[in-house]
Amino acid sequence: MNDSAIDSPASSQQTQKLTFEFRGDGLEYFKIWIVNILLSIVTLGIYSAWATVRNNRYFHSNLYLNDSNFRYLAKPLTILKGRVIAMAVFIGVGAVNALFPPAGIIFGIVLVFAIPYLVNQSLAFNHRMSSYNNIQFRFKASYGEAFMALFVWPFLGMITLGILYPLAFLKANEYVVNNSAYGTQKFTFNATYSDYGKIFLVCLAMALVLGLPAMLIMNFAPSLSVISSILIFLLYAGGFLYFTVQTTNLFYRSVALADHGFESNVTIQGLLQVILTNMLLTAVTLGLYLPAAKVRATKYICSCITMNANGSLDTFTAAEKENVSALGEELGQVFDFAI
Amino acid sequence: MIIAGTYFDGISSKRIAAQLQAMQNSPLMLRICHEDKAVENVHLQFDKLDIESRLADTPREINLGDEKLFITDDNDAVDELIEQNNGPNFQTGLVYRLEKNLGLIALATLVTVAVIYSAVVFGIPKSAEYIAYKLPDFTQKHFGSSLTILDKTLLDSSELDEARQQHIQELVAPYLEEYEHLSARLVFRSGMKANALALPDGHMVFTDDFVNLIHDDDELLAVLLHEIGHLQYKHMMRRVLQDSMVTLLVVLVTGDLDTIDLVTGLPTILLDLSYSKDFEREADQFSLEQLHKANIDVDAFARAMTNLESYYIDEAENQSKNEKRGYGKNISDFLSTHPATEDRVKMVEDFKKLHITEP
Repeated sequence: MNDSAIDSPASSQQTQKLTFEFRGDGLEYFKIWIVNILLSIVTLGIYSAWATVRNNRYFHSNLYLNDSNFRYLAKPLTILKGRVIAMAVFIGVGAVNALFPPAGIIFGIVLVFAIPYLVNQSLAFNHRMSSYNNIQFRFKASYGEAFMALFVWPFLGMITLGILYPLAFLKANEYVVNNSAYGTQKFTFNATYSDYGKIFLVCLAMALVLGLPAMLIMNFAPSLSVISSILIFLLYAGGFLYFTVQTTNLFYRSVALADHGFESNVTIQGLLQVILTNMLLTAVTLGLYLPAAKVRATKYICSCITMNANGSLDTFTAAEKENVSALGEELGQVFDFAI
Repeated sequence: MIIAGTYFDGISSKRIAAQLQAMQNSPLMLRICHEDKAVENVHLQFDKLDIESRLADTPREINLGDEKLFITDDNDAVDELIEQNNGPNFQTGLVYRLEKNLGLIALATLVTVAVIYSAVVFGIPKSAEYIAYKLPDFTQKHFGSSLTILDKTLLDSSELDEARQQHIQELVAPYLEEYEHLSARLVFRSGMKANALALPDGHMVFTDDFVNLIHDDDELLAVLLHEIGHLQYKHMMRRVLQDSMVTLLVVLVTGDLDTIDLVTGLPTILLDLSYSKDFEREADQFSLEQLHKANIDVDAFARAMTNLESYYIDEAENQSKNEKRGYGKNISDFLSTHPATEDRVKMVEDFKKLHITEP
């Protein structure tokens, strides 16, 4: 259809469906990936900063919306600097812990309170380093917002036995999306508690329908344990697929940028097909298929997302320049907290 | 040479058609074709341009300064432009050339696989061994609190009678004395099925079930020496070091891929199991040598292993008969971290052939 046509002024007030398209190629990325590994090993890991940039550039530059590609802007030296400092902090903390164990408790407390700040920094870096049509993305959130989204809401979800858990999910996504911007234009997130609640309820229903019989079989008819194992496997696999698909679709459908909205149609069947093919080929090739697997998964997800553009995409303007360091991002990777 | 592409003014997201004109004997120029048909010509200096390195066939980005940007799909033309201005030089696009060369890619694949293989088989075990022996004692002591933790969680005090404990302690005393520098000590506990373990601080734990399945003193000594072997070769420390090095390697290889844990986790677990078997073999060998030195029949070791295996098989059968939760995993746990019992028995035979040349 009019998928990738450049919007003309005549049609600018109608809703246009603009597709996302990933134009990467498994074999092409494999070559980049294997050279990255080789050079990283030869340089004892120093090249890994350059490798990260080339990987990210490959996945940004091959992602097209409306026939125009995204870009990744980070410089390897910025990443390397962040990585070196993060490693130094990690080793320093480890050494102090070994010599003086009580310090571990202090570090632990400091780390917990530093996490919201670091997550903010990390998101700001990754947004700033991504651009589309020469306009950078931005992220700016307060410490308090990050603290609420990362700690307070999940905690409330836990102590209410999960009743507020969908709300914690909603708050986490609101924290990310509402604080993001494309140039000077802010994103908005308009999902509701009941949107997430429904997904959680279906998962709960699955747990009852599959998990309860499995428990009964295990306790009262252990000789049929094959059946209970199958049920539990179905519960995990089905629950994981359903949850991933539903939350992904809900996420994109709920994001808006000015008058532009998004549509997402990831299906359980489609995702399952991609995951199974990837796992099989990765196992058969002893891991050499990994890069192509990532390309395949990215291609699939991108093919499911469209942008409903109301008007022209030409009118976004750049925000003032800011310098963001890669330290937050790299500390996040070293200390392994999820973002 | 005319390179067609898109121009961005650094202020808005508007895409503007443009051409980069590099004619001989005339300065570099960017022709920007605005929508109102007006054409703007901008003179450029090659030295001021920031041209991104080539990455496969993704659009080439040329930063013009002041956030202004020119993007083109014509990568080859940009490469030619660079060569015209800088001369054919190997610095620009070296990585791209590596990535494009099929022969080199094949070689890189082979070298990478070979490097990773040799790191896993030789590099990691050797360096872990080196580090483990160089580590100051206090780090080992740091691991030492593990008996306290085990006592709180998995182990209870022993129910063996005093006389039996006394007898065993007297039996092993001379051997423990020999390895005083490892601060080797034997303690009895109950729980954890039939098990003998060596903790890095020198504590060796025999569980009641284990002591009960042992038929004679020689068998007990064989197992004790096996555990002393673990201490002597610092196996626990080496295993911790090796596992963390494997994790680092996996991160290095897959670091920038957000892959599912299953894909990256599996090789880590498999490697840990294979390292564990290597350590068991080393400890077995140590035990056989020491038994031989002390003039004890090395068959005692084979008997102890056979006892242990049949214990776990019985255990598995009883459990499935009693139809409780699947404890059958005990036997598979034991077999996945330890070499197969028949291999261990065969090891004893081989040892006898090699060292005991009686008529």
